Amino acid sequence: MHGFRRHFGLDAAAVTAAILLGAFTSAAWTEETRTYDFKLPDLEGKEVSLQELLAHGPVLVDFWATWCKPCAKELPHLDAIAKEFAGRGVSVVAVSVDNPRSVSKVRSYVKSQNFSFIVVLDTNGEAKRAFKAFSQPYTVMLNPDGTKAFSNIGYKPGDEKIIREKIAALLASLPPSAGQAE
Amino acid sequence: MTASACFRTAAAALLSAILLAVPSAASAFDLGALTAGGSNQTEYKVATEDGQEILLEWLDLDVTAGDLAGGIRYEAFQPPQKDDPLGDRVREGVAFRYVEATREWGRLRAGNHYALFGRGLSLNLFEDRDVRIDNNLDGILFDGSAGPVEWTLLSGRARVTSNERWPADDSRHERLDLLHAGDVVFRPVDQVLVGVSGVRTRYPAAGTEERRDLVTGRAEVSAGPVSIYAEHGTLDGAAGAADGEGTYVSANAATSGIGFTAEYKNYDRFALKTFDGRINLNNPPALSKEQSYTLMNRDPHSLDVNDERGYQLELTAVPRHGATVTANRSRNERHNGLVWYEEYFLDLRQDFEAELGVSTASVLLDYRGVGEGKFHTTVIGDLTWLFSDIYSLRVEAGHQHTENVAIGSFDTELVVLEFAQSPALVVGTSIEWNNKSEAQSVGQDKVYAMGTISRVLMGDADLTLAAGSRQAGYYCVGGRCRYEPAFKGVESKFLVRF
Repeated sequence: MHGFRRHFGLDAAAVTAAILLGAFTSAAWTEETRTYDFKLPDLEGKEVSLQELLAHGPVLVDFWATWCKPCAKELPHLDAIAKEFAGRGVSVVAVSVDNPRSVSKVRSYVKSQNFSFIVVLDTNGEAKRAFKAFSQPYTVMLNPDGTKAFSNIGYKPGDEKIIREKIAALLASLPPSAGQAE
Repeated sequence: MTASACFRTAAAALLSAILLAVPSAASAFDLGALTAGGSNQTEYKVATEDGQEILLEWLDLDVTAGDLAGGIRYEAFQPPQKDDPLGDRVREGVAFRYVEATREWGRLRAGNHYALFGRGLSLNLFEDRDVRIDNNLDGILFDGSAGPVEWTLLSGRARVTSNERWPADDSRHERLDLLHAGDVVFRPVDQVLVGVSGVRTRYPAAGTEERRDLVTGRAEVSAGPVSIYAEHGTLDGAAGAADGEGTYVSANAATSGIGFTAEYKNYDRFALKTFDGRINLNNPPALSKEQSYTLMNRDPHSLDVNDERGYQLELTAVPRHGATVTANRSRNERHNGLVWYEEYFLDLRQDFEAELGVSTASVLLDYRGVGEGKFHTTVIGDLTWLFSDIYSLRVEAGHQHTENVAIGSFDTELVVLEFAQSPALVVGTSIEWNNKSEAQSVGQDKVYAMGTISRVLMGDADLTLAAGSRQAGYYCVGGRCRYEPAFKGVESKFLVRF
């Protein structure tokens, strides 16, 4: 049985390697065509539509949770980014992936920190699955057409500077009619 | 490898390759709204003690064309890790597939699906790969809204993990439980919500049929700085047993600088499970602090929905710029009064300005008692030093004192060092040692050491290589936290999104 499993596992590893190669090839050689959308409630129960935000310009989406220590370090920087780019048509949305175990703490945490960005609740994980945000924090910058401009996995001190630079570069590449409000 | 297994693997690989080619086709042939995406997550590990290999693989592929969408997930667990909630059988194949149509009147989905009603007292179907939970249903789901009314109706079969009733046939009984459920929410204004949920499960049994019915009602009101949520449900007793009940209430008040949350629960014979008793279909709030530090997850609280009541209080305060204080108190007891899990928690965090060189410093104090006779007192210091625009060093030092009625007292020390280069590289090591062997008078590992390299590739792929040994618990590196079972050997984790 052990031999069977060993043989089976190695074969599957080879298949997996082939799949990974295909994934790399696909990701490297195809234009990003996928668009993203969600409609989630904010802390007051009001529905927030990603498509409606994208109509005003690029959107920075950040997946986080109250129990995630790196997220706690990242969120103040996102708040500063939200304030810095608010006048240039960029929206920042923090998607809480807290499940029923911890979702009750989101409201008091966010309000006590006085964050200025939009916070929505993805309690059943639907947006998390759509964005493949399997670990937190995971930050995705969306173009106004809903496609992904860039992403940032995890949080390491200094990421905020790189995110700022990438947002500025993205804004510079967009036509003036792309919803930027000076 | 058997011929059928080989065929299934090859077929899955071929199907995957075809679906992976869809983005190319979409851009090449300009198919308009046709888009595709997905992810591949692979974990491969070799234990040095017994040479056992473990391969865990999830390949998700989704295609969207206007109002239509579909997707599959190929999974391979060969074999699963020890204590896998889904059982220890070798399995591989397409474990999740769906098609759905979304219009302004709602969404109709056929195939595998997840759902959450309220806070999960009646139904909570979800996937969490870190802890190997996937209680999806295979069937039909219809959800939508009209004005102030939202609804979800679903019917499907739940996965069953054991075959104790029919041991002769391993495959035919994988999805036997039939579940029908509905949830209706009335939201007259954004700040007020009233909802009702109903779930009926049917278990085919020899010559008869077992059936369980669960009904809950809930309400939520937000007014200015205050928000209150309450949900109550009843579960009819199986085979003439008394009915079960579940109640959950939460209230929070928050304004700039301070926030407070209070929660109460009372779950009495309220667990709704698959017929084999291994997969929960309802997962109400547990009311214990979610922790991400390794030492604080050595004895995490595991909710018993059949016999547990208690409360949790949490205060978050921002006394000055960059400072955060979090205080938490939770208590869980049985209905006979036995306190079986309680915790005091305090976290003081200070974020300094960058020019001081230190970006974050945190001190956590944690005390918890467990009804089985374990008491932990933990102190953790966490310091991050950003010494250039992109280079940083993190030091985490933890001490835990454990009083264990069965084996005596012992101490555990943990040191984590991480060097990070933003945004793509983290090199880390964790060293843990304890004097448990002295308390137990048995020989066992006293020192656990694990080295880790984590690298972001191509912007949206993530490779982690690790070697060494560690105890079970959550392990955080590079700003990400995942549950890790006890392990000694070499492992790799790879996640790519496309």
